[in-house]
Amino acid sequence: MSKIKSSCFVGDSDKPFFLLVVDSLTSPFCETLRQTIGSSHAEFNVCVSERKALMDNMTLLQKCVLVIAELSGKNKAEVFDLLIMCRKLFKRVPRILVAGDKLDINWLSRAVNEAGVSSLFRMDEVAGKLPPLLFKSLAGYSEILSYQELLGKTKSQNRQLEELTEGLEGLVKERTRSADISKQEAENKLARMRSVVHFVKELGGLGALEDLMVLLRREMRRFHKVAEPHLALPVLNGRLKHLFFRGGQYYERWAQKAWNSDGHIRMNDKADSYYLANEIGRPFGQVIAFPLPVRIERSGEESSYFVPPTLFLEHSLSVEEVDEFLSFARERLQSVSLALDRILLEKELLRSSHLWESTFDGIGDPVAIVSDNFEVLRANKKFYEERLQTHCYKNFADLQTPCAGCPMQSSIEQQRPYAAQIRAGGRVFMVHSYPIQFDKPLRSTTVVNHYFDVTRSSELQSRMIQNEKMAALGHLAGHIAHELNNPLTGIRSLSQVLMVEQKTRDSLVKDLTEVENAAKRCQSIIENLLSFSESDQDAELERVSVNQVLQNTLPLVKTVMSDFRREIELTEESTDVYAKPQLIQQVLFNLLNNASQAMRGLKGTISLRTYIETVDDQDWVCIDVVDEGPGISEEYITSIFEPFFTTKPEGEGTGLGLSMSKKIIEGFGGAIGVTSKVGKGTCFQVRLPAI
Amino acid sequence: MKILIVDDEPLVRRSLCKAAEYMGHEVYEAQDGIEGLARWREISPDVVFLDILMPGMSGPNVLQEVHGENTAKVILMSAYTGEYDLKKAQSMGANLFLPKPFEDIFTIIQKAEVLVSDR
Repeated sequence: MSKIKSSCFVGDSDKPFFLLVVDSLTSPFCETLRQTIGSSHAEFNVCVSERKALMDNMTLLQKCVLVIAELSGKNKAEVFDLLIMCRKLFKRVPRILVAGDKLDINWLSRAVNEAGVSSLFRMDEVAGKLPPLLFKSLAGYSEILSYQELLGKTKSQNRQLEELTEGLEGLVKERTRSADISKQEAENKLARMRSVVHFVKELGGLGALEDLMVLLRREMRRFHKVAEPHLALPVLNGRLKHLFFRGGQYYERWAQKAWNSDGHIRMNDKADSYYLANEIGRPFGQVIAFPLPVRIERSGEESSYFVPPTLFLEHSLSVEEVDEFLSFARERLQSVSLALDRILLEKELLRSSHLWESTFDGIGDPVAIVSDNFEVLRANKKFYEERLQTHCYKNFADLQTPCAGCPMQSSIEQQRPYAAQIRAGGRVFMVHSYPIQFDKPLRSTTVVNHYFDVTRSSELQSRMIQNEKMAALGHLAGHIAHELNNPLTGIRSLSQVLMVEQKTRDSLVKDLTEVENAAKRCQSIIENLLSFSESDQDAELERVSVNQVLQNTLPLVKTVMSDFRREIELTEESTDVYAKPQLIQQVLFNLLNNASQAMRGLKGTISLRTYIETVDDQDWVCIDVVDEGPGISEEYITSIFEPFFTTKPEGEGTGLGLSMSKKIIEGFGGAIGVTSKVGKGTCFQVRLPAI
Repeated sequence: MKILIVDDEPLVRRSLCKAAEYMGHEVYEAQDGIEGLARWREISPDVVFLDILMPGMSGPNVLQEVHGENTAKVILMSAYTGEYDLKKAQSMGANLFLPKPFEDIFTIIQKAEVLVSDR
């Protein structure tokens, strides 16, 4: 307590201290306390203050551990005021009273209740009671101090935490906001991508340029200030085309001039507007030109002359709107290029495949591409005319095994073209097999077969041979007749001699008569044959009776007509005409032969009539040959008088009979005609001018 | 009467021969034109049956050879009537033309008899 001063405040107020509040620094209480505290406890920092001085500067109490106030008889009210004030201002600082006198209950109660005094003792008790109290309050003070410190720390930590939390919250808020923004962006982007994907998908399904244009128009409608699309496109052989809409209608038009093609997007280039105005014939406003790079360079086009397709879009977009539109367009144009590429390529493919197809179909002969196992890979229309089979021989010849003589195998084995004849469906074809080399180094296992119908020409040939033979036979006929007639003369004459010599032997005569008759028959056959083959040109027209010729002819066709009923009705009027009898005979023979062939396998009547018909004062001798055969269909009836026309199986008709008959009859100034009903029969009418 | 038959066909010669002999005539035969010409000159027949087409020497050739010296009646015969008829036969110096085969062999001999008796 050495530091206790006699001033108004004595002691080190910067350290925790005990405060003695006294009336005056000279009061005995002051000395007593100083002795009590100072003697035994040098470590205590004790300050002494006069009450009045303290009242003026209460802040001194800030580091005070304990207020010890002196209470004497005359200062009671003032001391209490001070303590109450202390209690108000510094509640934590305990207050004790040291009274010089005994206090009555009234003051005690005030001390406890109003001033909150924790201890009260008399002056004489100070030495014994005060020191423990001092220790206790010192400990309490340090506790309070550390508590306060802790509280401070806690507070500051709380504050820091709060700051941190605030910071975090800000961060979270900011992040959340930016997340919201990016989510929105992502959604927008997704929506954009979806619309692009949808657009691309639609592009993928397009098959025609018009569809592409319609799709572009629809897509561009999102921008109200963008007009309908206009596509400038190179097509065939470097020719250029405009595809555009006018009045909602789609148009394609040849371009007069090429458009500018620097390969870059051009914004509002006046040259583009002028160009389009000239080409289309209407004013154009601002135009954006998008070149669409396509990969394919079509055949026959020098790349230097190649103008890339360009999409022109007329618009009235402001500068701000243009950016949005450009990015919208950029997202789509590459796909449009690809789609355009594909469409053009497909068109080209289609065109060239169509070109080849129609080329093949245009060939009148059957043509087929056939693999080495006889499978038809491709063929033209003519080839598939009758059947649709996988194998060439099944399809073409209706066979179960490859056609005899087919040159295909040889062609594949030797790797060079071969040709040979095959027969198919009653016709003869010259087949040319050409090996096709798809890949050069490999052996070809595929051939192109070209089938050329040579039936007609081989028929012609065989007919010519036949005719030659017949002609030769005609020439020989005289000789043959001579050779036959000589022995016949002997047979007949000797028979006659023998018959005369053997008059008495009846049976022998009968036999000889038969021999003679047979020889006679032979003779008449030779005569007819001879007259048939006689050369016609030299003979002059002679007056002949048609009826007579008919009667002479009937025995010759007796065998061919034997299966049918015959109705012969000859006019009794004169049937004389100027003609060559053997030729009339030939015509009749031919018509009767046809009639009986038409009726083969059928029952029926062959009618033969002659009659006279008068037309415009001219009498005509008419011969009708009528059969009840199947008739002639309309498609054939016009060509039956054409040479080589026949419906008969091979080897039965030469196709010459009717054409020759026509020629013969017309040579005599007559005519030959036909009427026929399918299923009923046919009537040939020959008319010759009567004499 | 004396009949000469010139024909390369044995059956024709034989039948004519038999029929003529049956009718009581004297018959000589020759199998071709050369032999026929020789016999003609040798026997001086009344009637000659002469075939047209024969190997070596044809009937008309034989006729040309005997032209002028001939007294016989000539009957030309042919199995091929193509280019011959009575007119042509007569222009060559024949009296009759007969196409082969004959309708009746005896009638022919009779025709020959008529020719000779007309002389």
